[in-house]
Amino acid sequence: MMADDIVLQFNSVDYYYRSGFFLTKKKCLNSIDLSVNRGSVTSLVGPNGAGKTTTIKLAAGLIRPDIGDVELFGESAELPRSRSRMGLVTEVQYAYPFLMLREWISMLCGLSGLKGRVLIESVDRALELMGLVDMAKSLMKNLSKGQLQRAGIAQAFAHDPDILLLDEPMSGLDPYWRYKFTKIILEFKEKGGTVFFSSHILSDVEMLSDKVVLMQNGEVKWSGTLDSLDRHVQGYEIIAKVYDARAVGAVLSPSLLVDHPGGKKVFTIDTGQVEDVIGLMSKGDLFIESLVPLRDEIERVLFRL
Amino acid sequence: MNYGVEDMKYWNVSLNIWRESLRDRALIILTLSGLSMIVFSIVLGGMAVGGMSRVIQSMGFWVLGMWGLISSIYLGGSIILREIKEKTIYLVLSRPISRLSFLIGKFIGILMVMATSYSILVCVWLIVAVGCGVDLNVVHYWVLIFIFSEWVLLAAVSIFFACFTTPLLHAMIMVGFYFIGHLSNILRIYAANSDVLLMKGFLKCMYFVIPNLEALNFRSEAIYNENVPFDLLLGCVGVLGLWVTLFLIAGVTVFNARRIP
Repeated sequence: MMADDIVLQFNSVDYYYRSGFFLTKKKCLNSIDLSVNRGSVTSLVGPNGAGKTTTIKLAAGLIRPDIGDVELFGESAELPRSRSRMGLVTEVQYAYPFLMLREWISMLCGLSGLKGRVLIESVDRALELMGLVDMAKSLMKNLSKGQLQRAGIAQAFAHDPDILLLDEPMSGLDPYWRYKFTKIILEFKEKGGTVFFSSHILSDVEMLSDKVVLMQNGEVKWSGTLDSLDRHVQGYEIIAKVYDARAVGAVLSPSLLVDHPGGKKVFTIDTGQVEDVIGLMSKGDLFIESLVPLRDEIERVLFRL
Repeated sequence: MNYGVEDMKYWNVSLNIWRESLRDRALIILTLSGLSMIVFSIVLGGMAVGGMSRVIQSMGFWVLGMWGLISSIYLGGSIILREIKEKTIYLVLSRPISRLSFLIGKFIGILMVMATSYSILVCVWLIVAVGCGVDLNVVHYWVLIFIFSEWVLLAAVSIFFACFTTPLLHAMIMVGFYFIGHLSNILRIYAANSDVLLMKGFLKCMYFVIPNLEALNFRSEAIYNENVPFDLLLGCVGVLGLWVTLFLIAGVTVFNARRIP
């Protein structure tokens, strides 16, 4: 049974794929236990072949687990009705080449049960959201990679889902649309939507996620909030006004001091130099306006686990 | 919001197959080549002294029959197998639609494409036939109905085999199915004449497993203006309906069990 605020749950899921002439079984996912809370953003990270896409496919009910079960809104993810409130974005957009963009999204919305006026309005809204109104009558085969990716995102949003399953959603998007998509996801979350996504771009993971699941070799190696990660402070970035350049130069190499607007200097120090800089400040040789700790990169922390 | 409505969802799939296929150059070329063959029968008919009417009818029926086989191979092979190979199936099946609805949608979609192509071919054939003075009778229309019925059966068979074979194997099976289906009576005769028990059993088994397409063939009756009993026609419709249903049920069963890569 799922708790009320859990919308997606994996219960000890194993998945095998078959390969070779004799269709030999090979384990792809091993005893996956994870849950996604309502209104949260959970991200899957891990190297290629870790099982991220398979996990997304299981959540979308496209494949069924060999052992264990996957529940979406309290029902087996394989059941069609459990998928009515779910939107899926695949890493590569697999679209029918001879359909127009509008026809493609309309078809998918129709499969989600939308009809008539509601369907037309939903498609219009989705096209507008992803800036594709001008492309509505283009054949899918004529769209660029970025446009296809945006089309994929548009179809996922079109039927107003409660949960989004996104497999590398940023791939193929230019910086502007990456920024815009990040905003769209955060707005979706603010409205109570749930997001479960996989990404290689850890800065996106850091920006969007409430919870991170690290996968490796088909297993969940670690999961938790980013705050709970032990991220060492490597040093500090300081913006300061320098009053006595000679005194400061005696402690910090002048080549470290970089000009900053407003006649200030910006420089980085390691943790061992903190006391020296505080000493300079107490003597009035410089005035610190900003001091930002430089923590381990998320990549380094995650893959050290 | 109107969520979880399973009714008529297959229609979304069917409609888009039809739309997509109408823009597919390969199918347009296939239909145009069929039309050329039908028109070319006028030239061949002119070369056969006194046999214009028979040549136009025989060639027309042959083109209509063969184009059904080619269409079913192309549509079954591309519409189901391509869907799985190119993974377009992912976004469709991630929606609240059952695999049964999906496959029925595909079948109806293929039928819609076939019906469009068949209507064009038949219209042109009728124009050519009437223009060349062929004396059309009721049996001609029954023949046309049963040729399309054969297309329907081929579509169901194509969908069944597309659920678990590769495109090449699918094409080979379909060709084999079509020709053995039309030579089905020979299997029965060989079985009766064979002395080897194993061969006898094998041929009999083939005879019962593969639908007898020749039983739906009333082309010579139409050409020679012979009557076909109405109860025989009705019986054929019934048997055909059973075969189509059987292949669709088998297709759905296999497709439900199939793992999507």
